[in-house]
Amino acid sequence: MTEQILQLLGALLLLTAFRTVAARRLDDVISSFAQQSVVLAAIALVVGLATSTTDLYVVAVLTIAVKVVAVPAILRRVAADLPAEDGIRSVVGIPLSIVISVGLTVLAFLASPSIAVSGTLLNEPPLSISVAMVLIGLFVVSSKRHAVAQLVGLLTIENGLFSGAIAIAYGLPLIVEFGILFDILIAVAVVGLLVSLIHRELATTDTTELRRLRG
Amino acid sequence: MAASLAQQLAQVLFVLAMAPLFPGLIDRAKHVVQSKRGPSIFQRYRDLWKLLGKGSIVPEQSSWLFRLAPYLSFVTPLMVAMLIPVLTSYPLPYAFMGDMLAGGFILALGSFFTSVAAMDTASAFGGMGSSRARVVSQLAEPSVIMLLLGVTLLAGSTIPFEVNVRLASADLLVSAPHILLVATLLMVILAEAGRIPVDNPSSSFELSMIDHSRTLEYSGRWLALMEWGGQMRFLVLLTILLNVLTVPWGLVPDGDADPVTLVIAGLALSLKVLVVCGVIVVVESTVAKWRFFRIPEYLGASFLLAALATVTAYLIGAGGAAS
Repeated sequence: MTEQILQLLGALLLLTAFRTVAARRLDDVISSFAQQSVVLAAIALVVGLATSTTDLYVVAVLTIAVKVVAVPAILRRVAADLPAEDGIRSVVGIPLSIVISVGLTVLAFLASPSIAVSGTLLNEPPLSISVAMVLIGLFVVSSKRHAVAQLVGLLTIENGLFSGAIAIAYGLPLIVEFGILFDILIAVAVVGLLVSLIHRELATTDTTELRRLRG
Repeated sequence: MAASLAQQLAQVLFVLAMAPLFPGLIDRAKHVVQSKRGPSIFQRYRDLWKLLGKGSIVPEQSSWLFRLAPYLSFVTPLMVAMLIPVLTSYPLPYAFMGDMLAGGFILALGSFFTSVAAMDTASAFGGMGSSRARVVSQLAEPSVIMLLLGVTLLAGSTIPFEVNVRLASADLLVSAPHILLVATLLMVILAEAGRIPVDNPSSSFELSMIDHSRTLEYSGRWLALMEWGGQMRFLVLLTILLNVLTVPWGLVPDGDADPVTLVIAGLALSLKVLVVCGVIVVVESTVAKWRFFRIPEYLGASFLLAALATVTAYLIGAGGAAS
């Protein structure tokens, strides 16, 4: 039963990543990240219950606090200052992006069984899903041209790594988790500030416009 | 033998008799959501009764195709109803005429002739409707193929009566690939039946219609056959969703000839269809019809779900199907 619930949550995790890829508006990108983090917290909770690891309950609560509440709030605040542009532009069209992401997922599912750790409770599918999330996050970072969307891509990679850590090792030591989550919070705040500054200077958030380095 | 023939007849009669009820219910519920009273849930029956009593006008230039299409669109859902578990959990005498692929082909045949007949009259709206309906079906095709692949991988069979037992078994019922496949089929059914994200069934604006503009030239009893056929097609698709792919509960158990079990099976299926109709009402009351050129995105999303289901089924189902 636990295995089925985890499978289902894993599939949901992937779907939210796909929602980030398919999003046209900044609001959708941010809310898809919030949903992704809710699913991630649920995974931590279920694994915690299944393996009776109390650390994972704390991790689930912290994930909710940082990734579901704080980070989306900061991002929404940054987005509110930006003018409602004509959506998020992307290097390739959305249908093609989805097809590429499906390809990346298939790649992850084909490749990860060879590195899966046998004997853990959650062997292959969760690890494949984590690898797929990392690849999709990388794709979002490299294909979206909006700075905030790129940040969400980066956070997707982090979520993928996080779920991978839960799948393989039932979570990292609590102090490490604390560090990572705090790091994310600071990083998001700094990048959010940076995006506002870029927008004030250049009147754009399109990162392809940032071509000149000046000392 | 006589009992199973009676059950076979009951399956077909159930589809025939209940089909107009559910679109009527959806209509009524949508009006209630909009704080209106809405038509009676039996309005579709009254429409059919009225139309059946009227004569048909045939356009002068049309050929035999125009006259054949209503009968095909009426008969094809009934033929599929023989192949799938509508009321019984075991295959009836005619169920071995075909598997799920055959069912898909038979439904596609009816839809094909409706499109051809719409072009046959050379009316501009008919041609437009046909070409749009073809585009939607073609875009739905990859999802359907991926869906069949996923179902076959998971269940190890394409016979509906074996698939449903396998998919509803404890280790697959709430597994990720199964739920993704169900979501795919629901999205494809909404597109194929001309429901809201793809087409607005209550629209009277010919330029934006997809499904409805194919029957604009029909009148009288032929229009009745077309509409009834469309309603039965919808019910048959929902039955496939519910009794083959999702929850084949309440069906008549093997070898039971008691007519009471048939009534129970009919009620169970009606209840399950009602739940899906509720979902459709929520979707249609909250989502606006999408622009035509965004339909590839909608069907692309359904393809994505099916592809993910197949990928995950490949991992867990490879051993699961054999055991």
